[in-house]
Amino acid sequence: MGFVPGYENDIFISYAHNDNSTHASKPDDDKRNWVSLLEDYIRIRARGRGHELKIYRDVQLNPFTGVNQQLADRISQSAIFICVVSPNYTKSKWCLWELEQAFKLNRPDSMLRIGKYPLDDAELQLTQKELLKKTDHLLEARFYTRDESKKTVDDLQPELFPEHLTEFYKRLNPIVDKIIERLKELRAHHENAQPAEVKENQVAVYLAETSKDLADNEREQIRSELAQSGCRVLPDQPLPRDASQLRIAINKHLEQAKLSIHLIGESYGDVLDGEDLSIPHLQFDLAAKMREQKKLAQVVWLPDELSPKGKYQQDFLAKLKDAAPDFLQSKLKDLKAVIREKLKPALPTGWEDAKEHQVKVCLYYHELDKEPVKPIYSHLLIQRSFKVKLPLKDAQSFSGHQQLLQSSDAVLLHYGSGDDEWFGNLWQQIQRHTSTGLAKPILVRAIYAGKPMTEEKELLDSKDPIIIKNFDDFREETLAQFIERIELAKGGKR
Amino acid sequence: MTIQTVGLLDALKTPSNPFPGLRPFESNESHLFFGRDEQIEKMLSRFARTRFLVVVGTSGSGKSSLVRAGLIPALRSGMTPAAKGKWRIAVMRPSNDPIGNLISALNTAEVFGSTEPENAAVQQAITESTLRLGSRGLIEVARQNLLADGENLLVLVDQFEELFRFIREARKAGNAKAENDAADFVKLLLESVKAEAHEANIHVVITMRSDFLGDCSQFWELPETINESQYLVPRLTRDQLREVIEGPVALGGGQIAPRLVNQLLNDIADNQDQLPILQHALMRTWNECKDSQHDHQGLPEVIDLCCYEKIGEMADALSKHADEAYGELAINQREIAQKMFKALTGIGEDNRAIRRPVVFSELCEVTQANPEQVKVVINAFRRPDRSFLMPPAEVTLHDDTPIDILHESLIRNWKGKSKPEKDKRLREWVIDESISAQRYRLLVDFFRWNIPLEDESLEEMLEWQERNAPHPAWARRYDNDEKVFRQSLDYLARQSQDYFAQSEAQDNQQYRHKLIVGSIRGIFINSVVLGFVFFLVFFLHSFEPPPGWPPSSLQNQSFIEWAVTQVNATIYWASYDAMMFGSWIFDWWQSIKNPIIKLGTLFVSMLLAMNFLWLLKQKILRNKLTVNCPTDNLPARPIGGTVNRYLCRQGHQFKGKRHNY
Repeated sequence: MGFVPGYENDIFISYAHNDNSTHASKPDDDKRNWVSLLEDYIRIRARGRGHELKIYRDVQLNPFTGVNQQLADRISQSAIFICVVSPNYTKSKWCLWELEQAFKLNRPDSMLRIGKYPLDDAELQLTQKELLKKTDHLLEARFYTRDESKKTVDDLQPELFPEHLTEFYKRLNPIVDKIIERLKELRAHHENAQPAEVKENQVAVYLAETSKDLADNEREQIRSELAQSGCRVLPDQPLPRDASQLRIAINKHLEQAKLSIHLIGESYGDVLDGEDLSIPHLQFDLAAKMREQKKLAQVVWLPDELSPKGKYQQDFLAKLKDAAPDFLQSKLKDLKAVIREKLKPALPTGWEDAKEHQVKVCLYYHELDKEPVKPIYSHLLIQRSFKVKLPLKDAQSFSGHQQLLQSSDAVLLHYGSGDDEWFGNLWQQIQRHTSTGLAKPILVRAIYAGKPMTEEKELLDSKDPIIIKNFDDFREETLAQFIERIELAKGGKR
Repeated sequence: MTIQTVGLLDALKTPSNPFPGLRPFESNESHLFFGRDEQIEKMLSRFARTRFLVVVGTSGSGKSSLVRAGLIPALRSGMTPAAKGKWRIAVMRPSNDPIGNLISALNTAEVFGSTEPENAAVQQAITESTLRLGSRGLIEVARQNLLADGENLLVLVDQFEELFRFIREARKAGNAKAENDAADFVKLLLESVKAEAHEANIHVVITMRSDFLGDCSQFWELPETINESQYLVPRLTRDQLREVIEGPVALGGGQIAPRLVNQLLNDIADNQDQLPILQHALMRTWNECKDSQHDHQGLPEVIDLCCYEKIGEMADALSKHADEAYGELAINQREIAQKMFKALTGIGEDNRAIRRPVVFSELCEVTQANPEQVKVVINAFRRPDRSFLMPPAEVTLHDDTPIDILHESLIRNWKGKSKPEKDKRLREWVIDESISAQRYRLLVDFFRWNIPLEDESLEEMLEWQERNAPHPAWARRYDNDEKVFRQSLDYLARQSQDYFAQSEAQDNQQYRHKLIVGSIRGIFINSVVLGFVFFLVFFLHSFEPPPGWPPSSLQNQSFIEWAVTQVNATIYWASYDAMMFGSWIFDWWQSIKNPIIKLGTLFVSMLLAMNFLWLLKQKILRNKLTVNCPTDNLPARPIGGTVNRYLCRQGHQFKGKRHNY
């Protein structure tokens, strides 16, 4: 049994033996041929992620056995079916038979297509065509580039040219990630029958489809970085190329995501029939809408020295500069750093025990002033049923103050026995924490000048913070202004 | 040097400009010091554990601000559970007298100092003798002064790296006492934070440039203590930088456009001087926005791209600002400024530009200007809205006041052009100065080893002398011995004299030779051309014998007479030919109907004629030039008079060498 329980093999690789041999290699030198390299890489990458895979590939070429029930069982007993499609593949009836068997199982999610070399339609027979047409819907990695104008094909031949190896592996990476993800899903499904829950722990990131100049290199780098750090990268399937479906699909993905990342290249991108905006532009707009509803964070990145092509792209860029909250024009490493920052889990605010509509008040006082503060505390807490925290006592660390203050509704600083220096420094810290990066605007800031009376305390005067002077014992009216302001601001908000 | 305390009413004031610019944040500005909370917390936790903290970072990483506006206010506000109570804070820089400066720092009024002047001297002396008792001196001083219960003493040693310079100089001068002093100073600090001394409630914070970390192993026990308590200042993340920008704006009651924030963040990118440059640009942008003259294209009162573009953006803001100060100076004051900045900077061991504090009197000597003028120049650069130089504007300048560039980022970012001379700015001046110093050291070597100066080396030295006009006050910086300076210059003068005298005769001979050869060549070429023309005309018209030939007439005429008639005839025929050719051309030209072609041909023929005349002129002149002054290969920039004349005569070639001045 392999990685996925319930299956004999994890992966079945269907390929033409001719694709796994070169004139240069000896027949039994199986290690460095095309398909063997592919198989080894999948195995090694999976090992890197801590999974040992069992991969089945028909190594022994025995034309006399032909196809048989044993092979058909193997296919159905493998969790994932990979076909290496090339002209050789279409010429081999065994290969096509394997493919047919795989389709009979009706598990398109567990089938992958590797394009080794493009097919020539003219050479195919009708039945083959129909069969292969079905594979068009499968997820595909291509290992060749076809130049339509010159009618030439560049394919990767890592078995012959070592310099092709890097590119070969690079193109294989997304497929391997997909395979591992799919295998994990299958395993989770088998073990728990609740795959949805497993997914919830995973942070989903929407990595927008981008124009061609960034798709292969930059986007792929970000994608693999995210995948490696355990994020679920959306869209996990290619976006539909149909205008009516497109918006729905994007929105569906965005709803799951916590962060959306947009890489902007030099061209505007494809514009679908029946749609005004290009796909990158549309994705940005839809994500921006979500961002405004505070459902996700959004990051826009473009290369350091980008020269946009065409008026549309220039206009789009100008719009981005004004509208995007996080607009990076930098090196890719900076984007990676920003993404890491954005995905850090939020720190606890310290107000978790407060009820939703309860007014949250931070009360600061000098440790010598415990007695005079007691009535204030109890008044706020009991009479007003506010949630009151005493950060100088409650906060576990320096940054605890920041967390508390940034999510509070009001802050009250009792200024009694402490000296000027203590008061001045403390107030400046409070000021800093309550002026930016707030979860919601703070309603009231107040200074309560209490016993003992000094000349300087008498002179205190300000609108924000409001100054409450009471050099006698505590009376309820003293806090009236403070409470009134809170009520007013709360009411105003509602 | 003291730590500013927050006045009670100050705390409630809204600052007029919430950005400090190039200077570090002060400890009464903690409300403006954004984006560093995470770092402060990490520092605090280390500090609470060991009572000793070494804040290490590159130049421009904000070490000083982090301690002054981050750590100290956090301690004083009581917001950290680890350190409670009142704090007495002694701030010092090692400078040229570490222990002396520690004593002064301890005797300020905020620490243990007495407010009465007559007591101050006594107090100072007591502190000094106690400190010098032994390595636990600082603990005893703290005990003597009876810290109240819960009171703490914090010694902040800013720019600890100065100590290493101090030691280097002490070693060079063979000053053993100074070297011991440095070691004692470090020991005093280390001893007072040891676990067994904890009841004395002494804490030590050191800031140091990271380049000097390795040097710390010069002191026993210091590396071990640093290993426990080092804090390497990290770069700010993008979100933290965003806070650095948005926080003070919000606190100052302003608004900033999000697109400008993004622009600033993108522009700052990987700049080493990230923070000072950003702070400076923000300070300027804020002022620009509040400036009533400024035309806001968008919303007024919102700091936007228009304000930012006006100040020259991140790349040029500092240059532009410093240029403003420089531009206000008169021409002679600019020269003083140039000399002054050259004196205030230097190239460090690792080829990095560094600042170099110089006392006022020395500055006057180096610039060779009168003190009033130097004051004007210094004041132009230390006005409160500029503050490129220390001390700040409110401090009066005395002879022994150290003048210093506020931040090294000014050296790296005040840039002009490499040419011409008047467009050079600090960055170029520093390079010029280092080349000049190199030349001087070379000259001293030449002199010491008695190596003769010839050709290029002589030329370089003479050029150096003429350009920099070196004087003893200048040279003192590179070589303490004034005698050496004078002797070296004498040596240069002697060498050049000898060299010129030696080559004079040779030069004159060469000069005469060239003159003769050139003249002959010129005459020869001209006569060949002329002869050819004569021959041509003669040949065209004279292949038939002229009338009066054969020799019957020869008997009547002398050969000379015959030749004269022949020449006359030739000239006659030549002018006749020219006239006929001219009239033929003119007829042809008149026959042209189309006025455009007519004018066109006229134009083309005039061009041809002018071209011909120009060629003729060139030809004649070139012949002359090659003889008289073989300076075709002189460098693009003529250099000093003497050398120039000398080279002219020698026909010297520079072998394609450029002088990168």
